Amino acid sequence: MAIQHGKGLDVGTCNLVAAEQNDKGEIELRPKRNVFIDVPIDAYTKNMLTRLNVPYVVQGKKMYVLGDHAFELANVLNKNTRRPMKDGLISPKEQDALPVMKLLIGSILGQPRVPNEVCFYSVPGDPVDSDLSVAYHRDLFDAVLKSLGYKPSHILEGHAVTFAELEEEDFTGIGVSCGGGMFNICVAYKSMPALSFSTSRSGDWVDNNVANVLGIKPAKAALIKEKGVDLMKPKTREEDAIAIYYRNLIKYNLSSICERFRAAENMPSFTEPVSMVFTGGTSMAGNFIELVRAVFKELDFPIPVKECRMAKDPFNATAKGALVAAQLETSSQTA
Amino acid sequence: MADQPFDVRRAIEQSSSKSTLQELAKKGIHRVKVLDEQMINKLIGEAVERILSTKTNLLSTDDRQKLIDASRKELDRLVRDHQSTKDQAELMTKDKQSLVSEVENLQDQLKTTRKLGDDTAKQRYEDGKAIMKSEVEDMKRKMSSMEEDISKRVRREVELEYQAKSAGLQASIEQLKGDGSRRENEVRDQYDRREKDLREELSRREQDIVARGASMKEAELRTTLDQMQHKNMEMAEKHADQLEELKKSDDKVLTTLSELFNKAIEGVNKKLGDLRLRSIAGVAAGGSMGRVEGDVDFRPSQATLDSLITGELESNLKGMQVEAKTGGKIGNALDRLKAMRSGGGGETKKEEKK
Repeated sequence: MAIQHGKGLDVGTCNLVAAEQNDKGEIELRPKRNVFIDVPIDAYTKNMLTRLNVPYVVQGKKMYVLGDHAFELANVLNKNTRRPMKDGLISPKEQDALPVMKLLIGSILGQPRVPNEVCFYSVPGDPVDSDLSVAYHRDLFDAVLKSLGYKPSHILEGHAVTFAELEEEDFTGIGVSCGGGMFNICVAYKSMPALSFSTSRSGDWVDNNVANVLGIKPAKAALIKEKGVDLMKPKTREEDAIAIYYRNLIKYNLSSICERFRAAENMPSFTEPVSMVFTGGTSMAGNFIELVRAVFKELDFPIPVKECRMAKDPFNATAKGALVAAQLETSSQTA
Repeated sequence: MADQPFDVRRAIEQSSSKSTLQELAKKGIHRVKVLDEQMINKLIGEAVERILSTKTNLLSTDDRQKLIDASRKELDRLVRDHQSTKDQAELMTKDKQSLVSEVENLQDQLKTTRKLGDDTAKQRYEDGKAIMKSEVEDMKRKMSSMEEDISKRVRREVELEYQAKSAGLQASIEQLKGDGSRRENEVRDQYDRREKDLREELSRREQDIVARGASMKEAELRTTLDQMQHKNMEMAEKHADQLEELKKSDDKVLTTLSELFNKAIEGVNKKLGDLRLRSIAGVAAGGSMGRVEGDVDFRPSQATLDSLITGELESNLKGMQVEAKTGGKIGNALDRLKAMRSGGGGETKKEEKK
C-alpha cells in the first residue's frame, strides 16, 4: 500500500504525540511526555542514564532527563518536573526550554519521509482566560518544524478532534480536548470550524489544587490521578480531592463554553442535535464522562446536544486529527 | 287494742289490691273464685281455733289466753307496720306525681316565658323599625331639603359669578367693539385714501399705456413671463436633481453610518462578551480575549528564532528508538473530507448511509 504522506503532531502541555500512516495503512503513534527535570551533570550520570535507556540532554551547564523518565524521577525524588509549556502554550518565560522541546519533537516525528513533508501541529484556540500569545507559540513551532525539515502548518486542537472523531456525523459537532493545560473547544459544521476557543483550566489546575490541599507535589498528585481514580466513587482522601476539583473543573469549562456560545455571533444554527466528544489525557479519569453528563444536566446549554461521549481513542485523537489534516493538505497539493 | 277483735275486712282491704274484670282479662284471668267476708272470718276463726286446740293441748287456759293475746298483739303490730309502709308508698307516689306535674308546669311556664320574650322582642323590633323608619324618612326629608338649599345657594352663587363675569366680558366686548369700529374706520379711511391714490395711478398709467401702445406692452410682458417660467422650470429641474443627489448622498451616508454603527456594536458586543468571559474565568486583567484593536502580539524575529532553535545539544536521545504503537486506521475520514471539500460531502454521507 502506498504511503500517504503527511504527519500529525499533538503539541500538548503534558504530552507530545506524533502520528503518521505506515505502509500498511495503519496509524503509528509516538507519544512522549513533555517534561524534563534537572539532574547533576557528570560523566557517571551520563553513562548510567545511557545504560538505563533514559534520555537526557545537556544544555550549557545543565543536564536534563527527558520525558516519562523525568516524570518518574520527579516522583522518586519528590521534586517538581519542569515544563516547557504552560497553559497550552510555550511561554516567553520558558524560551530556554525550546531546544529541549525541539529534541523531543524530533525524536517522535523522526525525519521527514519526503522533503518538506507536511506536518500539522495542534494549536490552542484563543484563550478566554489567559494573556499568553498564540501567535508567539505558532511562530516558535513553525520554526522548530522547519528546522526539522518539515513544512509546518497548524490546526486548532478542537478542530483536530472533530476530524478524528466526528466522521460519522459529517464532521459536524463539538470537539473538546481536555489536555494538561487547557480545555480546547471547537464547534465544527461540515468540517469547518465555526467557533474555537480555549480555557486555561484543565488537568494541571486539578493537580496544583490537589497538591495544595494535600500538601504534596503536583507531580505526585498527577501520579495519583493517572493511577486511576473513579470520579463518581472516590475511595480515599486523595481521590476525594481529585474528584472535587474535577467536578469544579468540568463545571467551570462547561459554563465557559455556554457563555462563549451565547456570546458568539457566527454560530451555525444546527437543525439537529449534535454530539459533544471529549478527548485528552484529562478526560481519561474513571467515569469522567459520567461526571460531565451529570454537570451538563444542570446547565441550560445553548446548542442542542444529542450526546456527550468519550472519543474512541481519547489520548491520541488530536494527533490523529492533525494527521488527517496533513494528509488532506498533501492530497490537495498533489492533486 | 289487745281486747279488740281482729278486723278481717280491714286486713283484707289493706293487704289486697283491687282489679277490674277487664284488667284481669288482660292478664289472662277469666275465672275467679269468690269468698265473702263472713266466710273468710269464719274460716280464719276455725283455723285459729283448730291450731290452738291441736298445738296447745299442753297449755293451761290462762297460758293459752296469754298466747292468744300475744299473737293478737303481734298481728296488730304487723298490720300497723304494713299500713304505715303502704301509707308511705302512697305518699311517695303522690310526691312523685306532684313533682312530675310541677316539672311539667315549670316547662309550660318556661315555654310561655320564651314565647313572651320572643313576642316582646319582635314587638320591640317592629316598634323600633317603625320609629327608625319615621326617623329615616325625617332624615331623608331633611337631606332633601338641605340639598335643595345647597343647590339653590350654589345656583345663586354661580348665577352671581356668571353675571359678574358676563358683565366683565360684556364690558370687554364693548371695548373691543369700540376698538374694532375705530380701527374699521381707520382702515376704511386708509382704504379710501389708497383707492383714491390707485385710481389716480391707474388713470395716469392708462394714459401712459395709451401713449406707448397697449399691444407692445403686452408682448413685452408675455416674453418676460415666458422667460421667467423657463427659468423657473430650469431651477425646478436643477433642484430636483440636487434633491436626488442629496437623497443618494444621504442614503450612502446612512449606509456607511449603519455599517460603522453595526461594526461598533459588534465590537462592543464582542468586548462585552469577552469581559464577561474574563469575569467568569476570574482573571483580573490580561488574556487574549481582552485584546483590543491596536494590541501587538509579541512575535519573535527570525534572528531570535534561529538563536533559539539552532545549534546542537549534547543528548543521547538521537540514538534511542522511540517506540511506536499502532492506533487503527484513518478509514474513510480522509475520503469523506476530500469529498466535502470538493462540494459533495453531504451526498457522500447519504449514499453511504443508504
